[in-house]
Amino acid sequence: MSGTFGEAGKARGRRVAGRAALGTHRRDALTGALLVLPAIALALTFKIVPLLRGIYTSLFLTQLGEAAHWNHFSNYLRMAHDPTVQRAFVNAAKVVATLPVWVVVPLVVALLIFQRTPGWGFFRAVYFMPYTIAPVIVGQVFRELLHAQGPLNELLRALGLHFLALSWLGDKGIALFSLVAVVLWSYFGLGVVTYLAGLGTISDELFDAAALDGAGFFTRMFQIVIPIIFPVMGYWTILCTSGMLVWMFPFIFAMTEGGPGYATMLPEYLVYITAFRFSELGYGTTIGVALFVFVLIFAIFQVRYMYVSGTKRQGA
Amino acid sequence: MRAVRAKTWLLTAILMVALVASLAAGGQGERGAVTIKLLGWQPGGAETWTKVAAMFMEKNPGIKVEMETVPMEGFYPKEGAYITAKSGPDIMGNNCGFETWERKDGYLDIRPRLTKEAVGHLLDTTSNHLAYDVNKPSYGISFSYQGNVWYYNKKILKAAGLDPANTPVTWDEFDRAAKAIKAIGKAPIATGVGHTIAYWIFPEIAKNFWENDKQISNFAMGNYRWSDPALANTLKYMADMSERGWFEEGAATINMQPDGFNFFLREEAAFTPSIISDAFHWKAAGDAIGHENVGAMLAPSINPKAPFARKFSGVPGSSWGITPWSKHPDEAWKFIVYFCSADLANTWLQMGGMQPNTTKFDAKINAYAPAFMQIQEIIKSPMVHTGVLNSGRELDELSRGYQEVMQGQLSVDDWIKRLNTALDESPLKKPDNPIWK
Repeated sequence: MSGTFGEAGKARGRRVAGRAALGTHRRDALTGALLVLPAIALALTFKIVPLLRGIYTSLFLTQLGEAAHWNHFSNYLRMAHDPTVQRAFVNAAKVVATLPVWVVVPLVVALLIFQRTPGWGFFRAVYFMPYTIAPVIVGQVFRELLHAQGPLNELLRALGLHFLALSWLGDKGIALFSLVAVVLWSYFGLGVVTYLAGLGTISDELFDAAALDGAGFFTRMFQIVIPIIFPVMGYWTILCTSGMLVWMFPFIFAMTEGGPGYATMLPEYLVYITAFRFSELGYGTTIGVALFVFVLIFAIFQVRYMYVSGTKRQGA
Repeated sequence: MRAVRAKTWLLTAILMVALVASLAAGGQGERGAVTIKLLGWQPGGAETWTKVAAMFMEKNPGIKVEMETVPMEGFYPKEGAYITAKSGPDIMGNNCGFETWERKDGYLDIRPRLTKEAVGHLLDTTSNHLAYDVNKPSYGISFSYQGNVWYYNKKILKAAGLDPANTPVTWDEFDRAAKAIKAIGKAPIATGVGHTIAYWIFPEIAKNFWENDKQISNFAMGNYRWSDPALANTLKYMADMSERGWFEEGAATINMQPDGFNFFLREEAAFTPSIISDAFHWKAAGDAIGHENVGAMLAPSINPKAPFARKFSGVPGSSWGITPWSKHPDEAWKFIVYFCSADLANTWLQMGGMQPNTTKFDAKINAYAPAFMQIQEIIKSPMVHTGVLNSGRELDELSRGYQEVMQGQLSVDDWIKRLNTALDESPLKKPDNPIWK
């Protein structure tokens, strides 16, 4: 009898415990949902809805002085044959091709600072300072500095380096790279700080052990430092890739307005002048959607690569 | 625990009350005052606008004026953003012609407000109407008169052995002068190659090739293509100016007009194509290099005997209108009428150097400036300003193409093709567009 009662009691106990566990599970799920709800609401309101709205707007024909009307996919067809759009995306691809410089230069500077190279404290502040200056101001200053008759060329001529006194922002062949160099100057301090944050996580004991094993500077860098901060490099690479396609606007605005001709015209600036200078909001948004897809493709590849390499490391 | 909870509730309640109170107070501003906002680039200078607004507010204590000022280069994108959002300032400036027509959604039709009392003193209100037709909507009024002259530096001309009293009239005369100027290490012409090219250089060359008014109106309506003789020749001669080395080194890289004008102010160049009102004018030049050293003239002519060659390209200056979304259109109009009034013509003239859009002004105020007095003679023989008849697309392509042409990176033929494409992408520049009917 007691056994029967015992079994029934246990079963009841299991049911009660199960219900309690279910209740706890539900409560946890509800708490979790409540915690992520603000983030979801924000993402929906400020990311997803504008994106969908943008795609919807891209299906309208809106031209200066004309009422907007539904235009199916005409804007996309027009964009496919628009030489200005093609130039802008070719320029964007050229900018993306400079990515290794964006990744390596801050890394080298960060390593030098991390190695406590003489004056490292001073340089850490100096390198970060450009990032604190408003991009439009940076653009205006460099517009003056890089002018054909500006101070940089005057200096080069004074030093007898006439062949280097180029039309930095005027020559179609180099204007885009001058622009990229200025943006890199402005942002690479952020990269240095990002790398330093990663380097700060490396234990001194690792270096001591490596030193005891007779590892030299390069061995330490390539066998210890870079593998450890690889995720940070990945993060910075993604940030740069998407950033260099959407950070350039204030610099273009202040320095070249996309010129000479279309030499420094990038999709983000083209979106701006199409939508707001020519008041073709629909077509401007279409170019914006194309830019979004362009950035997304790079981001997907990079994030996937980071995920796969991260998983492999965890597995190892 | 209960005490902590009570404190939290109390703090939340205080914060909510403060938030509601601040929101309620934010919309009111000064008690009973209506605030009107104006978007512009402050033609005539910030000092003059501040003074004019202060004088207006003193006379109208119930109205507060706030000004949002952006540089000319950034004005249209900013305005475009407001028009797209259908909200923003109560008053917006603009240039007459296509700049306004293409953005007509940003302006109320003010024809019912154009009473004799309000605008009777103005020289030209026709140019503020759609398609220059007084039977069509009007989008603003202008307190200044605008147009193109070339300023010159008498000191540089003298140093080059040239006579400032006999400036070049023909293309060949200018070329000879340019060579003399370059021989003393100065540039013949200072300019930037931003969108002002379409307003400041294009019309001055084009007027050598227009044969009649009909051609000009066809150009406005898009019936006259860039491959047609007058426009094709204009582009050819614009390229010729650069090929002859008339511009300062690196001119093609300057997309901000102040940088080009500054080159003239630094006395590095003898001439600069510019305008009579707004900012880059006789007063700015004279204040920098001495009024006795500055002269004004018409651009040299390729064919001085052409019907329009020695005419002044004139148009009312910045046009000011009321936005359709303004909640205070009456107060906005009151301010516009005030700063465009004949009473203020001398103030604008004296402080900002603005040529008034009225005859009710005293030219003697600025008799100290020879360039200003020369301008008074030049403007007596006006023609339609063809620069403002370029659509936004054409305007952009004119400057971008010119940057490349000047550097030998684009042929004039390809520039023509690009401009024809820009013309085709300009919806208002089509003869069947309702604005022309």
